[in-house]
Amino acid sequence: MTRIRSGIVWAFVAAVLLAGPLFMPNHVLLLVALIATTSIITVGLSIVTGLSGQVSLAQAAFCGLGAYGATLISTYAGLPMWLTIPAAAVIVAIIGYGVGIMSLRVEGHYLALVTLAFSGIVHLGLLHLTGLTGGAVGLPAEQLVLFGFTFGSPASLYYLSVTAAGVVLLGVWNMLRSRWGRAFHGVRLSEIACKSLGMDVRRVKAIAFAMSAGLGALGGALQSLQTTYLDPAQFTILGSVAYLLVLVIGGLRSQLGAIIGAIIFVMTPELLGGFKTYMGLVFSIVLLAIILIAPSGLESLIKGARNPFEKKAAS
Amino acid sequence: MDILQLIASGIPAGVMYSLVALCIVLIHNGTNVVHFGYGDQIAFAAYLVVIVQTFGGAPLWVAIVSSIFISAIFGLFIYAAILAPLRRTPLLVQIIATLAIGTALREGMRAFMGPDPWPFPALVTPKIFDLGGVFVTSANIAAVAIAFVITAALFMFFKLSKYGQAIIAACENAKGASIVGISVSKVFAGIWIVASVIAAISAVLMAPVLTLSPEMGLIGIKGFCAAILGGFTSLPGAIVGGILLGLIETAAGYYISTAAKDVVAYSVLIGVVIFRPQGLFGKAQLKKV
Amino acid sequence: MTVQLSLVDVTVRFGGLTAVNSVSLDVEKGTIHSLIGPNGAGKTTVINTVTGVYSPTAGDVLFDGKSIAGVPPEKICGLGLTRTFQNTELFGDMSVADNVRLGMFRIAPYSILAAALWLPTALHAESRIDERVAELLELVGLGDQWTTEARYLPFAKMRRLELARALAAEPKMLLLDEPAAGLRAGEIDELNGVLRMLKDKLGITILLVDHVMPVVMGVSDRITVVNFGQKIAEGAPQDIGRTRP
Repeated sequence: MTRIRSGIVWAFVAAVLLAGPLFMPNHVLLLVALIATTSIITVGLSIVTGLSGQVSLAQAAFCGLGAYGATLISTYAGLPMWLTIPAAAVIVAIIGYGVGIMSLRVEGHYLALVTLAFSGIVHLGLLHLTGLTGGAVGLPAEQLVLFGFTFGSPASLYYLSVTAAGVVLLGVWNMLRSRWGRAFHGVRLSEIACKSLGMDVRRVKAIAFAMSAGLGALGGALQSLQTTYLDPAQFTILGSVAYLLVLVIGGLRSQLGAIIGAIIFVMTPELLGGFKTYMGLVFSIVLLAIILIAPSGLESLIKGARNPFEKKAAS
Repeated sequence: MDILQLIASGIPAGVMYSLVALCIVLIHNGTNVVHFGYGDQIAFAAYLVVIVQTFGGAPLWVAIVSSIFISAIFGLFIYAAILAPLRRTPLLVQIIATLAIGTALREGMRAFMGPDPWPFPALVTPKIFDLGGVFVTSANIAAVAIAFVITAALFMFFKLSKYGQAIIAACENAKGASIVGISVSKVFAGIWIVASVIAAISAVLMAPVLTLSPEMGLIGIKGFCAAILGGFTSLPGAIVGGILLGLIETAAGYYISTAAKDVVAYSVLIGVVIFRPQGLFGKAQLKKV
Repeated sequence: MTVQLSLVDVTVRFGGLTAVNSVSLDVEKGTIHSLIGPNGAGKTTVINTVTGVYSPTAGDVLFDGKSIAGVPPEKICGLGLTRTFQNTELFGDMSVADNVRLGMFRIAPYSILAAALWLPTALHAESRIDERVAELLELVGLGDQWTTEARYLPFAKMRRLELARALAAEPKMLLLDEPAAGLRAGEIDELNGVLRMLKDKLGITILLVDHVMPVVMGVSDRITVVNFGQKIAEGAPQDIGRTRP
């Protein structure tokens, strides 16, 4: 029953998304595009922090490295963005692997602090390496041109972002059902059991970090196509904290939670309008309430509502 | 810049880090919580002074005392309403809770007081003293003096008062302490109150130097750098770590650039964690079975 | 008969405490060898030392003739040794099947890229994994619990799940840390049956640590007794049985 039902739901969602530009006004298209690219970022974070249990406060830094990286490589090496965006994602994934290896000796809060410090260093680098990055003023992002077509209009950015997010979500879904998803999950639950089964836990953790970094970079680079301008203020420590907070609200452990988190991240400033200034305050208070009431986040509440009769069988 | 000036400038900066590090380590050792929002508590306390003084029309010393009082209550609130219920949840949840607390404070201040810096009254009239070629400001002296008084008071409190001894006992061994009849939750509450009071006092020292804005809470990260340098489980280590960090940063600021100061501090944190996780005085963490 | 695992004068010291004091012990291939003794006698320390959690302060551990002292836990599995834990370290919120599938992590590898793109290498590995999981779950009597979350299993079945998971790694030898703790009489008989089957049908060598005598006497080919970190007796079950007061 559930398989067919969710299949229909997904088909419906896909159809609506496909037909989007026909009935959605431009600013909605851009919002959806933004949600799509943010989902890539939060899904990345959910792999390393939610699934594999390692606190990463560096996601915004990886986004910044991806965004700046794609544009700078494109500018200095003369390569098109459709090459440099994936290239930047891969390079940042390798950096993420390095950060993950650093975590080999430390756990829990030490790791959170290391990623925090890493975030700080990246932000300061973007801010002060003025010759390269334009400093606090920033620099315009390169545009994506494919076969002579420039992705600049709301509709084109919409299709690009939604397709990219769809591909990423599919790939991650596959990965979650594979030995790797089990490995990341197992590492969070019991490292000692994993080691006894021959798993190189360090390497697995580092790979989880690499994935989150790569996806963060990809999302960040794709977002730069929409914002068309890069500046260090977009990639601060506080930004990393914000991604983690919305992920927790949406639900740490699943892709659905990551998507919900992305929606919250993008829509809350939109919906609050004039009350924007109170957004951060309301967010954090809501988050604390959720932690105290339903630690698994909103998505577990939603899932719970959908399957009230699901029994966990034991005999 | 000669070594003496480096020391004269580095130590006042360092003692401020020491105070932050001290409380972070105290909260961690005592209640097993890493308080990512502590820097924001300091900023909050500074804003309280400004609010009471500017909107309440009170003299500075009244504002400071009010800030200390309100901070203490707020610290108690954080413990009782948020962290005590989360005692048995996984580490990740507690980290997120303290991050959320910090964010709430920061964003609350940004919403009610605006994102721009507020002028903060100096505690002592600004004067510069020339001690044989080495320049020391009155703020420097005040910082070192007050930090010294706080640290001395804290250590006397731990050594001499029953309550202080109870805190140390609970830090060492919570189960053992409760068997002996020490109310662990009272001790935890006490730790949070003490740390919040010190936050308020530190705020008065730091705000004139750091400029008061919602981002002032980032001093917390420097506190972490200092705490890790000193060895996260050691209170004296936190003090030494802070002073050392102040000296390293001042040197970096002079020999490299002002921008490099923060980068160097963060690099120290990362470097210590990679190469010597126990810092200078901490205990090496044993492998769990 | 060949010796599969050999402890040669193994001593393990933690600071001032000597947990294991010059213990020597040989486990013959294809047999079930039990290590018994009261709590705190050093039995779990022996298992932890063999599996690389600790390094012996003195002495050596030989597996199939090669020294494995100090080899880290993740490499021990590759040599053919897996273990179970005193406090069943199951992956609680993962399904029974997934727990066993993770046991095959080393055996059926494929890259993360293959996983994301669901390439043929991944597909083939996964169907191979599923076949093996089905076999193992049948073997331990959990064939009808594929999707149950491990933490909702009754205790005895948790133990068997851990066994199945350890077997998934295709070990030559199993180290079982108190497999009978907390089991009721009927469950102990079932456990004995499973252990004997592992030895007879699959030829797996077993070193088991416990103090539940019905299991030890019921399945062991040989018993070593330790107390205060030292070996105090060794022999066939009937010999050990007689020397007890």
